[in-house]
Amino acid sequence: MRRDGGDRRLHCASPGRAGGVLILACALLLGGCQSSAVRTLNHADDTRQLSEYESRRWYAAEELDRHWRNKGLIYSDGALGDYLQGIAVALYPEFGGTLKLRVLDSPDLNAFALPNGSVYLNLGLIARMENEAQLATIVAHEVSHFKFQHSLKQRHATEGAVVAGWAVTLLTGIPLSGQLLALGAMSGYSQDAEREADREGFARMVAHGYDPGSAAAVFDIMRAEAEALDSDEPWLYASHPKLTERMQTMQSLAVQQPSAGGRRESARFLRETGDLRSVLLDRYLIGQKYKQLIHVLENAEIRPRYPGHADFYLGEAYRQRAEEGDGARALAAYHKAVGLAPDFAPSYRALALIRMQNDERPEARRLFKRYLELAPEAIDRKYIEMYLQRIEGES
Amino acid sequence: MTRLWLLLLLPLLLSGCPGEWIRVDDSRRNHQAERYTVSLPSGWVVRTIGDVLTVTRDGPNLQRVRIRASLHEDAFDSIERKSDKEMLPSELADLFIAALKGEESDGLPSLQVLSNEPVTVAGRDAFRLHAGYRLESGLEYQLLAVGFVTEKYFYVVSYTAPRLLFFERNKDEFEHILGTLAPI
Repeated sequence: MRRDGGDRRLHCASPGRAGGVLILACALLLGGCQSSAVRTLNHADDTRQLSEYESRRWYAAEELDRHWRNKGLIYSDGALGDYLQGIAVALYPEFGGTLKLRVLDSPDLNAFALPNGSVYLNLGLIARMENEAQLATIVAHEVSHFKFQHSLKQRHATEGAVVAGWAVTLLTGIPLSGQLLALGAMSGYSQDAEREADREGFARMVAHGYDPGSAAAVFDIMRAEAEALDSDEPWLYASHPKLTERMQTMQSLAVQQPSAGGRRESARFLRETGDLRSVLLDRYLIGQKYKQLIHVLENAEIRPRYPGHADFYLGEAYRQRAEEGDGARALAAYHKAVGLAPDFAPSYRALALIRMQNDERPEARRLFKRYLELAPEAIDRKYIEMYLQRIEGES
Repeated sequence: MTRLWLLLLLPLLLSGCPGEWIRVDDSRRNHQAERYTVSLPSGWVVRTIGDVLTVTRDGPNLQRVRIRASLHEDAFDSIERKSDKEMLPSELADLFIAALKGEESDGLPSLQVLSNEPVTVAGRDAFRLHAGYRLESGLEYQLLAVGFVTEKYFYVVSYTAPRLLFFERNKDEFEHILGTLAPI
């Protein structure tokens, strides 16, 4: 079965199957037989006196932080960062000052924690949540991985990849991607580690008054997406049976709570995450992820969370998919976008291109001109001017 | 000791068997490929891997011009899209940008489009893209790419170099290569 999203990135970054096997072999050898016990962290003070082994891994994590920052992969939004940080510190006040919440500019559904307290949530994962309780479920889960130092305990994946990555980079100058270096942290942990983080995270979010039922809803969102995309689940959730099992675990934990209900903070979540959903649509479009666009925007329950112009993206998704009937679907979606968001310029350009290709010149000209009126600084202005010249020259 | 041998062998095993670099002398300036002819700058080196020809003077990390002529069905295989002979240059540009951004290994996710405009190449409508991106080391690169379609193929000629010092230095060679490209 084909994998989407993050997994494809790994394939791009990897030096091929032979190289990968070699790296793994190298990792196992170079990783040696570390016997250092990995501590569970109970307080930020626990990170002030690290063993040599822990210090090395801490440094490796900081290298990864730097790597992603330098590559321009961090989504920069101060207010959003503060919001996430606030949730994390509220859930885990004992780690205040150590946790660093960041948003990775990726539409894929993933999140991971590094052993130095850096917690990364993909833009796509945040934007796909419905309320703060769900977001808190993810944050609490990831901070639990940090608390239990799961990435250190899972040496075969994390340490091996890091060591091998460094060795290859040093010896060959071949810059291995941070995706490979972070393989252990990003690809999920053993079932036991995930269960431990699930239980701990759930207890924290419930203790802070969040709705226990929201935890299972997070997994349900992932499962629905995996099914819609006909792909393996995002890394965070590993294999399908495991995902379903984890959703059921969360449901049973919720049922065991003495009182039903709790905070969801939907309004605050939507306010604080601002236009992240619009940004996500843009990322889906740029990345040609039409399956995700269609999955999100054809869903009557999800669609209202997105702005009026979202139908433009749905139209683009139909065009990219290009199945029978998608042309008509795209046209209808563009028209709907114009109706719902009459000042959103790209809808006019999309309609104009269709009219131009159908040789409907007067209408194409009118729509192109409207596009340029609404977006005089559009980066594709010169293309539009060229198309207009041709239309007018042929008329 | 085993580890040492492994470390020494690693670069050799990973490097595989790429095409050989060949110096462009007067006899090789007029390059004829299966899908195009082009004039290459004398004194540079050239190699071909698959359907990609690369030329450089000081090394591909310092400046490189690449010519790729791919079948429509292979044009954007990394994003599972195809080109076709009817595609508008702006549509091609959008696909080309999407494919670039999908590359993780080269700092390309940080790609910023600086300009994107229509041009004419060998009598065909084409896109001309100027973009910048940053490697994980923080080193900034710039990229010029010109792409167009013919009946059978998608052609793209690109020039990549570090923004400081190198990018401006060899732009003329890129323009020369582009100006002499003749699709077959």
